[in-house]
Amino acid sequence: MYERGDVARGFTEAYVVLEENYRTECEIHTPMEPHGCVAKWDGDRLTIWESTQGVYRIQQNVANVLNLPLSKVRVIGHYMGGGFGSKLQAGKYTIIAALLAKITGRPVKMILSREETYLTVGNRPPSNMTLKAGVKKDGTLTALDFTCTGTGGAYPAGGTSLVDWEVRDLYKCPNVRTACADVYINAGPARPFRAPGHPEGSWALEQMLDALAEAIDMDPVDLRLKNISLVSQARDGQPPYTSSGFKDCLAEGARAFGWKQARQQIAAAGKQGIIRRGVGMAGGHWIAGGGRPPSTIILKLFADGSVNLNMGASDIGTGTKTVMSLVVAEELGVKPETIQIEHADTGSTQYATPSGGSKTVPTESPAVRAAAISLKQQLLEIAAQDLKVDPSTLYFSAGSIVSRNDPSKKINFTDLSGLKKRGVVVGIGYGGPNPANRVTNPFAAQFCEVEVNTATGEVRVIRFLGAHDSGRVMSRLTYDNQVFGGITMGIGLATTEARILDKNHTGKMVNRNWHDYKLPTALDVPEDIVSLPIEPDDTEANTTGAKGLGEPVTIPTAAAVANAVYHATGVRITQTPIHPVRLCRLLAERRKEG
Amino acid sequence: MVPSFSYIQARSLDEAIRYLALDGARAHAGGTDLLGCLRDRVFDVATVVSIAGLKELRGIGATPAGGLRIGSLTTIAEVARNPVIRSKYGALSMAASEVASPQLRHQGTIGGNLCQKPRCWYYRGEFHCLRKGGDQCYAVDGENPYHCIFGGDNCFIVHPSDTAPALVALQASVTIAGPNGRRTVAVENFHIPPSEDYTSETVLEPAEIVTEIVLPPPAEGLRSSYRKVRARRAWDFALAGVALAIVFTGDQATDCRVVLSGAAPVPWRSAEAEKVIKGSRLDRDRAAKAAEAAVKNAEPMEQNEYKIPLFRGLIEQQLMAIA
Ligand SMILES: Cc1cc2nc3c(=O)[nH]c(=O)nc-3n(C[C@H](O)[C@H](O)[C@H](O)COP(=O)(O)OP(=O)(O)OC[C@H]3O[C@@H](n4cnc5c(N)ncnc54)[C@H](O)[C@@H]3O)c2cc1C
Ligand code: SF4
Repeated sequence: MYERGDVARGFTEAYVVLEENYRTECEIHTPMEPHGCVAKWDGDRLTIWESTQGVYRIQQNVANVLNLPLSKVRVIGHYMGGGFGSKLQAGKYTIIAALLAKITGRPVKMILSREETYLTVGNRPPSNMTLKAGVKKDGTLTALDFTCTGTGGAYPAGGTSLVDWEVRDLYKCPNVRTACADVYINAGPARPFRAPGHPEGSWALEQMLDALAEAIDMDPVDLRLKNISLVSQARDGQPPYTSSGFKDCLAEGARAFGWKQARQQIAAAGKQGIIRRGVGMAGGHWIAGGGRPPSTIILKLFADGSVNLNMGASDIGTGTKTVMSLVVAEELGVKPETIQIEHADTGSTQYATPSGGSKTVPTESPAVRAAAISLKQQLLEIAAQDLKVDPSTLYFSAGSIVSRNDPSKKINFTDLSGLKKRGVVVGIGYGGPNPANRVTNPFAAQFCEVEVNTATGEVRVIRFLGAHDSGRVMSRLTYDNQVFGGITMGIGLATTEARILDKNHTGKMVNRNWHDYKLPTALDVPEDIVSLPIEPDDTEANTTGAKGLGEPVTIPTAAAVANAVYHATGVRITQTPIHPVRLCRLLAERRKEG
Repeated sequence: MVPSFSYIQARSLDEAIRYLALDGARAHAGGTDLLGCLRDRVFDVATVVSIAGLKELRGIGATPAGGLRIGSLTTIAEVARNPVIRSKYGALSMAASEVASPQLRHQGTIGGNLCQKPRCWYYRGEFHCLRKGGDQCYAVDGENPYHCIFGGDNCFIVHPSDTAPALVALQASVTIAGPNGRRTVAVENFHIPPSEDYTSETVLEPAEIVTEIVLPPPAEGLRSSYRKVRARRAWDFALAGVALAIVFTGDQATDCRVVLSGAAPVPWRSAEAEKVIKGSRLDRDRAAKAAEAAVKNAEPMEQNEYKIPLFRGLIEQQLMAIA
């Protein structure tokens, strides 16, 4: 239960009050690689190779259960085929494999079948939501009243956790009340799933804003621009954001998409013919994505000038390693290809929290920079001795160190005596504390165009644009890849995916394979997706200016599709997924009503 | 896990038929359906008899009568891209290219496509339902959004094949070889409704093999088409599909077949729609009436009522497109 202001009074101040029920279906993570591990003992030392988002989390889970010292449990997870939040912890299979390996004295491999992963390793739980909202004639929000019933399955597993966050925090509104309740059901447990709670809440909030905009005859983008908040309203003390590119996401995104023109064209075409076009948009932000300690990074410069970056964090396929090597390259002035990375191994790399919450880049990259700076300082001191000058007069220039006072005093990294003697210079970096009384969140606005066959209920998503403020773009390739992937996943929530339980007989999941559980295919995703980075200069958040990206990219997607389908057809689909099974019936009912 | 079985590569049709007569033997063509059934333990199997090496069952060629013969081992991809099929039997070409995914079309055969097992998720899942020898149909009051609206009786599957309705519309037949020699059956009569026998899908007797599919020469003025609506745009079975084969004389539809997929346990000929179309000039009004007639006798289940407006819209659209 959350409340601020006076919700009842807020509604009396409104020009229009709307209320609607919404539902999102349960989604399964469905990473390409199923969950599993190999366990092997050498005497009293256990090594586990696990498909995981965080090796230190697994180490801790396994050591706890098996009552082993942390030092005796080595977990390695160099590569993994996707997790989306479902691989943040050890599985029962991890423990079982370890025990079987102990008993048999042989390595044991346990990989779950697809059916098993559908049952036991998490899901994005279903949400049943009601939202009542009030708005003034000029677009000012006066009150939001939100309730949600959801389920984490058979265990307390965060069923409705964070579903209300967008309602509480995204748009400026003085009077807000939310209440969420979980019920237990005989089904698999929930686990964090890419932006837990947010796409669900967004499905309700962003469709409601669309409806409010129509009711007061205002452009949906303008309504959102009217209600931007520069402080995090739902947090104690309402701290300001270190940066907010939300306004630019909305305005620049609308411009780049051709929002106004598209709406004019569609209005001019009129509601004729069987195939109808529509455009829709939605905004969003992500509760985390600011990064946080702890993180420890070790950077080694070898005698030949090549660099080894040692970090405990996992690269879950998002390009973490690419980004980190770019930070090293930027700070040390070396080529990225001279950097070798050791990572995700509790036996040989440093403690790191799991890669989740879109916090890996903002957490690790400042620590990487700190390690590089520490390394540089040591090199400067060695150079000062070698060149017999004061270290404060030296600077770095493309693999060498030069005196500012006398350019002839110059030495290459590889000629540094201290480096030659020791064979290595080691820089250590730690993740520092986050700025006090500030919040670092990424922001997003997405726009799309759809084509609906009003006779059959078939929906084709024609194009998408994602305008994202995730701070500095660390690598355009990996950045865009997250945007495309997040939109793809959001299209899955919007149009194809749903866990279906045999509710009248057995409670078993009936669509537990890849063709009955419908992930979007390449044909369900538009060829035309534009990624538009919005880069506010965030010097407060951390030393790299990066904010989280992996989760905000999937938050507004489904709601944007629903708004576009409404725009095309006049039918508001409040329940996912929007496919002919649902849409065809609604369209037919509408025709009957005339 | 796939259970263990013995595996035989037949060198001749006779040898294949001999081995298929063994208890618990199953034919293996492309294996795309069979292996899934084995992994899901839909049925037991002792011997898998591969017919994939039988060259005489492959390929597409003209018949003396001027029609077309398609060997049962011809892949669906070959059927989809064959230029003769594309120009003379458009519905079959369109249906083949709507099947599953590119990988499956390259591996799966047209014979296997006609003989594939139902996709009811209870049948494929760990439910011992009526069709698998159990004593109840789980779909009747269970999760049935993808089940049938016609011909359900005691089992409510929809026939999964896209090519079968096209072949019925085009009046094709299959040649069957077995221990007692050869016989020919119209594709229209090849599949068995549950009211007749809810444990088998085709008229094939044990050890019988489909060797070829034969298309009659196309009638003068024949136009045909197939269209399928599904929940996602690839790699998905039909929620609703319609194969049309209409013979036009001038602007008169003198003969026609309307065959639905995603509608019934067998490819479903809509006599009601055909009656409205036959002998008419197919204008918008006729198309709407035919579409209405097609769904008039539907018996939807709790979760698949949407199929009625869906079929109505789809059939009307397709009739307008072909006219
Ligand atoms: C994920 C998935 C999606 C699919 N989607 C579609 C779809 O959208 N539309 C569609 O129409 N189909 C679809 N299919 C079915 C697919 O087209 C069939 O699996 C394929 O056509 C079967 O051909 P095959 O050669 O692989 O058959 P096999 O798997 O080898 O055999 C299938 C069955 O037929 C029997 N059989 C095979 N050949 C003969 C023969 N000549 N004579 C007698 N019996 C025989 C076998 O014993 C077996 O029981 C899909 C299949 C999968 C796995
Ligand atoms: S519809 Fe047929 S196959 Fe499906 S559960 Fe019922 S009896 Fe079994």
